[in-house]
Amino acid sequence: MRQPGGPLSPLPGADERARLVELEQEVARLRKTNKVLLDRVEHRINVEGGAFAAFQAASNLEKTVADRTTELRQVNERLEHELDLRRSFETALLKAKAQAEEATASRTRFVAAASHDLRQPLNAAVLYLETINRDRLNPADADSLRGVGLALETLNSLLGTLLDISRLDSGGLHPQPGNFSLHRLFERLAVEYGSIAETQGLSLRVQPTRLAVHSDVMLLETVLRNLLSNAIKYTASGRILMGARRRGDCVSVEVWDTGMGIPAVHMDKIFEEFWRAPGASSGTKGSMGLGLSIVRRICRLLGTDIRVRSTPGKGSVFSLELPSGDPTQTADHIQAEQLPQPTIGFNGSLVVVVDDNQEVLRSMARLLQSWDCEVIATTAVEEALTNIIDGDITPRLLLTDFHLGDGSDGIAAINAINAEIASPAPAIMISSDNSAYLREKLDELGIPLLTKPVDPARLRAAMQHLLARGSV
Amino acid sequence: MPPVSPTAQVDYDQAMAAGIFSANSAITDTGGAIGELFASLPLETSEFVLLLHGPHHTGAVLEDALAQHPDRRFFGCSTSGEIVPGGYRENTVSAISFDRSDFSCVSRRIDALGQFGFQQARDLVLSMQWELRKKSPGSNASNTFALLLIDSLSQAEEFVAAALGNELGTIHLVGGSSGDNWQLQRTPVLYDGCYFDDSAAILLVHTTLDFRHYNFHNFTASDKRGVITAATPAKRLVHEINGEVAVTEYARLCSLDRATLDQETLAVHPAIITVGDRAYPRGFMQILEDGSLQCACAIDEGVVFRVATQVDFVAQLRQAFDRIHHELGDELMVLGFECAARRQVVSQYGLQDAVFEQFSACNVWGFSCMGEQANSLNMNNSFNCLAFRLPS
Repeated sequence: MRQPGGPLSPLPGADERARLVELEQEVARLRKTNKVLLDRVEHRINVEGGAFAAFQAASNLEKTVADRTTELRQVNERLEHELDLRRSFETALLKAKAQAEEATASRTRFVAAASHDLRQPLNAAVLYLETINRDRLNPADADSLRGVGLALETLNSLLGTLLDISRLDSGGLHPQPGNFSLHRLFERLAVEYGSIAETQGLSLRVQPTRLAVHSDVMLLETVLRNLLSNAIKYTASGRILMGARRRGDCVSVEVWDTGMGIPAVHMDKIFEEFWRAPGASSGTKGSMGLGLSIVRRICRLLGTDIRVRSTPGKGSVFSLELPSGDPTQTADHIQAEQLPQPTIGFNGSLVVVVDDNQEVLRSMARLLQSWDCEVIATTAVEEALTNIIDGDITPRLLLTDFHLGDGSDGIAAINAINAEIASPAPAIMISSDNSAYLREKLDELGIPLLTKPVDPARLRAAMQHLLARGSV
Repeated sequence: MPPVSPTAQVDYDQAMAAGIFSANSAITDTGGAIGELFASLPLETSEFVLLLHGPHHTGAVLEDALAQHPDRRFFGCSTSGEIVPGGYRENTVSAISFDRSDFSCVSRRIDALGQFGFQQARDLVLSMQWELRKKSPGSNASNTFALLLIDSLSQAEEFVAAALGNELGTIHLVGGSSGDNWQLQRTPVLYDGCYFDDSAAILLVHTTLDFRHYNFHNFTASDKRGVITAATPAKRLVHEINGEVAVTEYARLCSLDRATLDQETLAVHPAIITVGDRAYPRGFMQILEDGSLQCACAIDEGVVFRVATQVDFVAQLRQAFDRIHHELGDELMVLGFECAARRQVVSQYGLQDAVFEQFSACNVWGFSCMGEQANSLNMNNSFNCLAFRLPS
């Protein structure tokens, strides 16, 4: 039984006393550790220099930097991966593009080559046609002959269109902008298309203009020819108006008609290849529905847009804006009109004709002979040279194709012949190659270029001009 | 070739046609050693030369020898041992010449290291960057590094590294603390051919060579923790751990025998300070008579540390060097700043052959440091280095 007031426990023994001291020391150590830690937590230390604080801050920073670096590396790797994917897509796309371009190019080459080859016999046919003496024909045959002539003309214009499209698509056509006044171009087109309009019972009016533009005259001419022939084609009655007006720094060239008009739903389609208005007369001559697609392509090349406004049943306006030109800087681009047209015969003048196409050669020889020319016609310049040297004769005029076989060209042929004769003969180049490069080169040499198929009237005019000049 | 005395041992850089040329001389006579080294290096095209040498070479003789080449720039320090591809050297002189073909450098000397602060670091780094950009207009953070040689007795490495690293941003700072073979008496830094105490040489170097910075060690933190309960941070002295005399408690925590505990054993048992999941070894250099521990880096009261666990030294080194080879190829020069305690680990465990094989494969030149500066941090017990892909 426990006595009240008695001792709670016996006095500790020596062991316990030692243990107690040990525990008290441990408590003291733990108290101290605890205090130091609490001080640290309260940021009460770090007064002396703070070197450890610098280390701690820096190591925290390093950790942040390391984490960021890891993140960035991961992002970087992902981007690299995406970039790789993109590169492989790009490679595939470029390959596909190259293949598509090659396909287009080969199609373009084919069309160009085919048009060119088709033009050779066409050229020959036109020349043969010219040698037929119409006076001796009976009226029915004369009519047929006129029909053949018209058919050939249509064929020629279709081939020209195909060639234009293929050239535009191949990117081989580069505009050569210059300053020119519109009135000469308008006048020329007025004469040509005025008579066509007349045969359709339409009137073509061309507004006189003094405006000049800065553009490529040949390309603009092609655009206007297409617009005018379209206007005539799709206008049953009324009139067609061509004019130009100033619009700020630009000149707007416009072709108006009182034709069938274009419904809004067809607005986008009219510029597509081979699209023809449903109501167009089926007899529209030589129409493949390529005109406006050529117009759009050329306008793009000229850096402008073809615009159209139309009211079905009332008529349409096609217009394009071109930069204004300096009227004082306009050069005369139309030389054919300036050629003198004396009606003298050729009096047995010796003409050398070089062309690698036998048919063309033969028909050309017959045409020239019908004009009272002496003719040396040959497919190879060497043969002509042999004739000239052996016969000690001097040709008065050279007619040569530009692309001769064996990779040689007409310019080389002209030079070779003129090197053998005392007074160099003037020359005319005949080619279906109407490239800017060739035109430029011939301009330099002062050699006129006639495009195939040769218009006999033009050939005759050019020959007369050159021979007249040579005889002065 | 220079005359090589029978007692001298000269190590040449493995790739002499490269942008970095190195040699080591074991001639004890300072003038003789310098003469031998300079005869074997293309000094005329040198942008700057690092001279790393045993403490007995420190002094006027070396300064006078360098004064013979007034157009060349010399930086360096006394060490606790040199490192060459063949292994560890002691009391020798290494000369590492960075050629003008691939390097361009600007330098500053920092004196009175105890007073170095953030504002001073800002002015210094900005002026160096400006000067380097004027000298090498193509220099930027990715083709420039900073080299630091700092007097270890200044005990200012934490502040200097933190301040400089902070200003250098993404430019890697790599350096080491000088030494004197563990005598802890005098560890001056050589700046432009002259010795300075309580100073540091900081170089901003632009290079056309591909390079990377690595810092690694072979310790992880164990579960055993201690708290520094009494310390003199200014002198990096730890008096008490867990309220007990420092050396006694540290021996108990590390399960070591207090009676036989010496500096060499301590070298293998650094304390680990963890920041997040990262382990930073903090080494002890000396046991004082009162049972305090001299730390090799900044400490403070209330700091919690963990006892270190070692991972395989050689395996870890091999893995790290394999990575360098993988990232930079086989034509390498590694400028190494390795903790002097690691040299003791190598000798205690007899790892020389395996380790030197690695040094040779990576063409390591450098010295044993009393502290390694990696970016804004002062490290202990680490291998700190810049690895260069040499031009072939």
